[in-house]
Amino acid sequence: MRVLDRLSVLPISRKILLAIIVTSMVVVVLITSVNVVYGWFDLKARAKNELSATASIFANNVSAALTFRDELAAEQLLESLKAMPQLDQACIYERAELNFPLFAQYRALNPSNPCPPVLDKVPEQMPGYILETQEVVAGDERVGYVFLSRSTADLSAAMRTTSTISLGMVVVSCFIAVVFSTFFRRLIEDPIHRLVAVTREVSSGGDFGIRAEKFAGDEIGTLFDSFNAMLEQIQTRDDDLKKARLELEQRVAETEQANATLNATLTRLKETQDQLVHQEKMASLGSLVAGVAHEINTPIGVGVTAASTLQGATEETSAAYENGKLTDSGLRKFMGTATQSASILLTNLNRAASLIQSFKQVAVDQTSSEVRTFNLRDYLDEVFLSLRPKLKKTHLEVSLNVPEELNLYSYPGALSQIVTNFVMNSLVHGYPDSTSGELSVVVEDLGEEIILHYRDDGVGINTTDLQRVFDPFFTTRRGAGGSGLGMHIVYNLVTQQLNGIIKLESEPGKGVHAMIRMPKTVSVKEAAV
Amino acid sequence: MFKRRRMLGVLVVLLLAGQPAHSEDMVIGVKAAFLYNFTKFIQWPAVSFDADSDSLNLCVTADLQDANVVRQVVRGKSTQNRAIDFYYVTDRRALAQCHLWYVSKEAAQRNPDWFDEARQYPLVVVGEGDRFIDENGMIGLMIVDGRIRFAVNERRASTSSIHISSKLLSLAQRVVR
Repeated sequence: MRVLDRLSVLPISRKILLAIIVTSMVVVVLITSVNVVYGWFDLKARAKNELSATASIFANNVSAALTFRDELAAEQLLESLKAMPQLDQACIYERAELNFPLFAQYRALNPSNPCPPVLDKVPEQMPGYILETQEVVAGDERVGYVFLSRSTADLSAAMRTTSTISLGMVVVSCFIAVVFSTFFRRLIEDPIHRLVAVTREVSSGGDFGIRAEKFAGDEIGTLFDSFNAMLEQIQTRDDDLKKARLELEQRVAETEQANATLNATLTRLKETQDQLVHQEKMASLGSLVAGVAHEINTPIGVGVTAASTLQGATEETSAAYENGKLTDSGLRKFMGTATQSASILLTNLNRAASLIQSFKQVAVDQTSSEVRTFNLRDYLDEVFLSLRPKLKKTHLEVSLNVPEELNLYSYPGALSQIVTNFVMNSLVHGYPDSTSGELSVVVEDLGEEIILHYRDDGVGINTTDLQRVFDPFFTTRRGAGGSGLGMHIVYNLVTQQLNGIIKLESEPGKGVHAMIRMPKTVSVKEAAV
Repeated sequence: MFKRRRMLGVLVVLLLAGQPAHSEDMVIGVKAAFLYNFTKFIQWPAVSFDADSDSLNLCVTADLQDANVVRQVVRGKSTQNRAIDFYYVTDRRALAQCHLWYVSKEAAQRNPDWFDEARQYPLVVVGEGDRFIDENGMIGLMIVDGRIRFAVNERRASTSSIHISSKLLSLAQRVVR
């Protein structure tokens, strides 16, 4: 891999050159090596065969001389081997009683390397020599052996020459490969260089209109065509992209404009919502005022009746006095009437004053965001007192279970509005057919916090509506005068002003249970409205 | 590596053949070995044998003592895949069965007419002396420098359809072609 990594950084011309030279060198070296090795073995085999044939002929020729023990004739025959200068030894062994002693040898061949004295000493193999031993047969009798040895020095010399020539051929082949590859690589290199130049021109100038000029119809030509086609595609896509960008910019501008419009609408919507919330609060106040008026009307009316009765009795008694017809019993009756009327007047006016005082407090609290310390039980009594006109018309019982000495430092107005809205929602939604039921408020003192439980036993709320009950403008009675803001206001007052949390539980047919967990002492800073 | 068979007879012959012929016994022994060795390098015509299994008949006309030496030398021998049978010939008509006939110098002088008989057959006639091949024979044995040598009349052999190996001819002192 390292070699490949190193080679991969070479210019393509070098790679082509290297590929051709390496390939041709490997092929030539391989062929030459095989030839040389094969040549060597072939040469040795031929020499061996030649030696074997010579030995065979010589054994045949020498058979008579050996049979007749004619040493002279044997030596004459040995002389004939001069024709083979590569022969190193030529030995004739005759048959004797125990072994095959040397009978004759050709001394002129190699005086320093005499024949072994007996056949047993003749080696089977000798480095640098080819050996051949053959038996000599006369008639059907073995009469001796001939042994020839031949040096392979001449073969080695011949192989050296062949190897040198082969090496020369390798060098020449490499040279030819270099020359030819230098010539042919241009066919590949020049088009690629041209393509690279066009690529650079395109990448630096960004002009996709440039096209590469094709050289030939080979694979590189196809590459040119593909490259040009690619450039054309890029050009087309570039144009499309420019168009798309313009379109996008236009759409962004349009979207921004629409966004601005939407923001303005949203602002107006929030303003409207605030106004509506304010109006709802006012409506609640109005309802309170109406209730107050109705409640005060009774003691005042009783007072007026008592006053009229007193007035009538007074006028009647006064006239009788003037006419001197005032009797003792008549005066006693008037005094009784006056005393009773005054008593009725006083009782009812006190009652009216008491009512006004309570209502005034609740009304003031509802319209202001004042923080003060108040007794929760007394305050809730007053709130329910103000709601009495509404409750009177129903068959609902109210039960309050609040610890007596529980004082809060909080926003009583908010609490009043919350309870009022709970009661109003129960009246409007919980008891559709004026059925009887019970509303209850239970407060738990947890020390630092309280939990206010508000329950009714009306029809309850289904799951879908329960999830949306605190959403602004959610109402199931829009046509019947519901604004859909009541419970939203409750949620905002609990979470923002009272710094508490609210949870509403309900199932259809099982009434409603609202829980408000809030601190006894609210942090003014946190609850700033 | 090499098989060695004890063929005492042959070895004796070869040992004798390697020695210069000093005594008369020794000379006839060597000559007997030569006669045996000649059979290895001579091809007789096909008519000479009736069958492949026929033996080669070596005939001798000489002193009985010499003949016995020859008989001893070739006893149990074979050549060219044929056994060698020894015949002591005293009657010229017996030559008809011979393939090689050795005639001593004395016997040749005593029976010159036997050679006419011999010419009728493909018979290798071996005699004594260099001049023997010029007169009647095909191979003449002689002593040169203390060693037994021979001369060959190849022409006469060819006339009798007998082929003498060139290897044998190359050892001859003289060859008549």
